[in-house]
Amino acid sequence: MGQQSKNKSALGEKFNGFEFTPSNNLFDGIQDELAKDAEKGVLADKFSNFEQPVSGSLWPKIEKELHPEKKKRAIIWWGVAASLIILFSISSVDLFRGDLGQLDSVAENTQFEQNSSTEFSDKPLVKGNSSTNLPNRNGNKASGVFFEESAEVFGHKIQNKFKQPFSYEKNENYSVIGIAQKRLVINTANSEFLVKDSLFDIAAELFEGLEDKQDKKPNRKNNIAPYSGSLFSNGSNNGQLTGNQTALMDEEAAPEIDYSDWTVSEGGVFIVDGIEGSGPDAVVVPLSDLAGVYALVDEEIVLLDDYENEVGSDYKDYKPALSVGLLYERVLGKQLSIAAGVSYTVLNFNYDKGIWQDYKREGSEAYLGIPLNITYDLIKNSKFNLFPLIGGQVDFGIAHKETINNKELPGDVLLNSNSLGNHFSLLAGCGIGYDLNDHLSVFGQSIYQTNLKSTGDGFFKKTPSNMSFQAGLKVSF
Amino acid sequence: MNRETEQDLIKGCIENDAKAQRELYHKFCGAMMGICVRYAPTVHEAEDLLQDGFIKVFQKIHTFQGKGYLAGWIKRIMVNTCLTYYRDNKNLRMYAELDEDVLKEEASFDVLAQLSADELVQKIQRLPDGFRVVFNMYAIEGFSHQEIADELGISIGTSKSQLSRARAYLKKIIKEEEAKEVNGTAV
Repeated sequence: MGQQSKNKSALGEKFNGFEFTPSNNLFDGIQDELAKDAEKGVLADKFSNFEQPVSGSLWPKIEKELHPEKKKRAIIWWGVAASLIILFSISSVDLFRGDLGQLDSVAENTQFEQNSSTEFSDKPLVKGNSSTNLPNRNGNKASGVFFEESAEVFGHKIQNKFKQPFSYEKNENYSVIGIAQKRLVINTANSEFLVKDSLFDIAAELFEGLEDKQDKKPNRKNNIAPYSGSLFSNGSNNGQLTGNQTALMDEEAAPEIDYSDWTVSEGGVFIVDGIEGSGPDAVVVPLSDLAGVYALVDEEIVLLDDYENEVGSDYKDYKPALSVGLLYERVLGKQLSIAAGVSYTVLNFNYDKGIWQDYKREGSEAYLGIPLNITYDLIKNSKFNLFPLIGGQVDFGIAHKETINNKELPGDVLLNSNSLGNHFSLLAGCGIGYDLNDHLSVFGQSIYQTNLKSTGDGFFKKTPSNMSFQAGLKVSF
Repeated sequence: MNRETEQDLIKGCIENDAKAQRELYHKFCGAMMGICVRYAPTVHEAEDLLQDGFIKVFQKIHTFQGKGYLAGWIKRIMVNTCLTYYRDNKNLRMYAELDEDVLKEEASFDVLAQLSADELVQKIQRLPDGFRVVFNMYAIEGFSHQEIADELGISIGTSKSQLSRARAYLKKIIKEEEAKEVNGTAV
């Protein structure tokens, strides 16, 4: 064995069994490193099969970059990221009633002395000068209004006195006439109206000076206005309400008068009955100016219909509106979209109050609408999106049908009723959408719609505010 | 997907066939989105990264030589896309101030392992960008500190310190959420 080997052996023996204690935290450091390595592996495994959903709108963006030649075609079709929306809607009705509430308030707030005995008037209440041009009289003027204690009409001498006090008050947009228990609300402050003590005076007013060219008889045609209220009587009749009649005189009073050729004219009068036994009292108002007739029933003001039956809040009972629409949507930005299109709305209704309880009167209104909506994606992930929306809609009344006992009312009657018209509404709401795949999604939205302007009296004017629920299918391309 | 189908798909993508590209996208988009949500603070930004990543996949598909699986190749492109975005974006938040006391406590392996992948992603998304990138690279992708330093242009020491701070921040997030749960239960 060489010297080196001998030395190594001696040194080696010196260190046999030699130990040196390392610092206390050395093993902690080793453990930390081992732990980190172990941690690294486990976290990697945790994510090895981890997947996340992707929104359907991403692939079209990728495709657009990969195939720019398709982009030009999209521009011709007015842009990529656009959709067609097929929309179905059902609306509630009668959220808020507009005009009726206002008239109720006018009628209620106009106070009258019901039993005043001092405010008799010996002159008719006439707007304008004494020569009154009653409406729809083919331009013929009354020769003058008059008020007499006795008058002779159609050979009958009639004696009547103006027994009932009446009151008159003007509100901001309405004139209100009160006679006994009734209040007539007249639409504008400048409307023409007369107050007469009897229906005979009305007749005289209407017929005086008019002659038929052929046979010199009074030209009754086109001058008899439809009226609601009582029949024209000879004064002994206490003026029972008998419904809508075109005859100005009943057969008992003047049986020899031939009124078979009398027709309903376009204008109107409203006859208000007086207290029993005192003879009828009359107010002549063009029907087009008459906003409503109210009566005091059990100390409550109630609205009367054309047949002087109390009108309930469901006078015309609309069923929920059903709509279908087709809209074109264009994406304006990452979260903003605009859509416009057409919609078709059908409203069914029926009448079930008053005399209509014994009849089956029902019908439908149809509107063609042009909606415009703007939506904003408030929350969006790969599958769902939550969005508020605002918009507006114009609806054009296009069809109106009504039947009574399954018999269709003639078109000219419906036209005169002015029930449809055109309407402009604002709407707001929110909705939620769900992506079925890259190109198809479904959505539901709840919309509050308020009618701002109407040219007719249809659904949108009667129920100016509505809630609706809409569901739809969106096809992206 | 078997190799034959995958080969057909790759061939279609090389030929710029839109149908093949869409099929490949739909096949891998879920898994790749799972990577992007770890690097991005929001789903919206993750989708931006995913979009950029897949554009690169289709632009470079002709370079895939068939060695290894297509999924792994796509994943590498996706991770590189994420890293490139954060490396080149100077406006990102690379640091966050942490109290010394917070720094002392790092989220332990046991605690992180108990979380589901979704829970972990939610917490990772709350990390400052710098912490999040380093944590992903080290703890999930398995990069070494040297590789992280080379990739991001930082020092090894910075990489280690970012990782440590990331774990401390995760611990802080976990504690805050636990405290919220306790308060909510107490109310």
